[in-house]
Amino acid sequence: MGARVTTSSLTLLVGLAALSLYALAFGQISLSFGDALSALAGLQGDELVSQIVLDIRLPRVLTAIIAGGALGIAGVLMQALFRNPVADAWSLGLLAGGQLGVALTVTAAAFAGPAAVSFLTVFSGPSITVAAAIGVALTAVFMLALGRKIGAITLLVVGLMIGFTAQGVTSVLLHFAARAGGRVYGGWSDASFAGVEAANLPWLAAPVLGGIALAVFTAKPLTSLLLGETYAKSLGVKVSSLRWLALAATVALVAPVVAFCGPVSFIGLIAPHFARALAGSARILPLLPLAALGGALLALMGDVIVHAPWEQHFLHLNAILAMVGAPIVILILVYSPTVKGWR
Amino acid sequence: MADLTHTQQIERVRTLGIPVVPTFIDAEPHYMGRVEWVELVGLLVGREQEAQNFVFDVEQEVARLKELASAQPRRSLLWAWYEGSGDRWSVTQRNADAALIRDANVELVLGKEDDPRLDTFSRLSTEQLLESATDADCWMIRDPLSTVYTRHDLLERFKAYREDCVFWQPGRRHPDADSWEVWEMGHIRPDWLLSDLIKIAHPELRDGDYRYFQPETWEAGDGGTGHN
Repeated sequence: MGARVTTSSLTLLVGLAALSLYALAFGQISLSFGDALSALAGLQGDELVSQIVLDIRLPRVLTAIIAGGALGIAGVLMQALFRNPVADAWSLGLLAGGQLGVALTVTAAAFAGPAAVSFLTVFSGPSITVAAAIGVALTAVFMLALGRKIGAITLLVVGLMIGFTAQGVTSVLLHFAARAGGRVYGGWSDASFAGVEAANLPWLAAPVLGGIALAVFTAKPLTSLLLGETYAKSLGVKVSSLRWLALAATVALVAPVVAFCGPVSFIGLIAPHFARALAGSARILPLLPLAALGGALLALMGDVIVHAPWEQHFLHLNAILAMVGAPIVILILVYSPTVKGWR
Repeated sequence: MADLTHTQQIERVRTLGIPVVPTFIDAEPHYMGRVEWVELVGLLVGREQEAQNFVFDVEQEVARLKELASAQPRRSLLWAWYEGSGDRWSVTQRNADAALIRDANVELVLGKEDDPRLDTFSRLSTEQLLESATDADCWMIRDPLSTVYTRHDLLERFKAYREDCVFWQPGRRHPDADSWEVWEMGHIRPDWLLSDLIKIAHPELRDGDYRYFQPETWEAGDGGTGHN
């Protein structure tokens, strides 16, 4: 199995590198691969080409990779934690909870006055990440508590309803924030990897790295939890602590993504299934690199399609991801033995 | 009265026995066509002469302003407002809005041929602006609903930014009013908009008194111009 995971990971890595180069070279303005590579190497003589590659496309590509990877790993953790094959940050309402956290912060700042709005604008990186983390964490705790009482399908429906509710409240809050002079994050309700500047990448990456470390730390006991709480306890796993740790990892992975990129849907749901198919196993640790690379690949593919030179209009990232993701969810709901067991 | 976006409501109002006249003011290919709808309103409310006088006055003022602008050196203007999501811009290119901009003796950067089947604007990316619009003399960068674009490293490539000729559209003179006057009165008072446009494009004619537009502040907020 080790060789299979290694081979799959290397294949995904090569695919990700190739797609990244493609994303750096092609977009609304087409460049050659040579131009993109020379700009990356700092050897590009045309300042416009350098600016397009280094200042516009590279931060977007890196954001897609980090965000997709984070959501993929978070999906593995959540599906193990909830023992539910359709659990992920989007389907269980965590992304919407994070959005609501940011919207509440923006609205509060807008009503507090221009000084608060300026503060929030200047410190937008840390402030919106913390706000999103609180929203994601509260929603996750609620869903975890609920998940122990209701079945997988019901939990999914509740998660979607929480998502709709939070999005509705967010929309209303941002409307009033705008009226009060707090138009800080316009267009943020649409998921996009293009809004992150290079200066903000550390604020996106640092919590994600922490989340990955926690995910690796909890991987082995989480695998035992897949076989049931009693089995895990018999192996000496402190289930309650494990849940909190896995939850903390999920929040660290999801919150910066929702804060900087908006509600990116489906990646966290699909990537774990993709990883399991490649690994041929449900063990958590080998799934982490595969889900991260698969999530990153999926996110970057979506971004490449969005930024293709379409005439007149842009496509929306979540529309592309839904076209891929929704049929997979339907297949899981219809055919997954785990879901059948919960009905 | 309603336009075609209110088709369902038109039917409902008709079933109540209330006469409904659909309007097509937004579909007018020229900005003066929008003003002429006032004559229909005048006819319907029995104030036809007053409406005709209104349209005549606007026409006269527009003609006066066009003549004033034509005496100035021709300048170029980019009308691209930031939509958000990092790299999305709505760029005015054609039809009624483009005609108004051109009548300020302005070359509309990224402008295209009129086509009544299309919107006045297209959605373009930051990359496309960097490729084709950096030489514009001035730039209208946001409308009342846009966010502030903060990528000053990229803005530095634009002549309009370097020469401090970037404007935005607060869109109202009365900050407490719950309406965007520029999209309401602005439709039937193109002379007011043209006056602002001429001041933007031709620095020699600036007097600091803008109605719906003002120099970009680079700060979040949607307050009016402060005039009462």
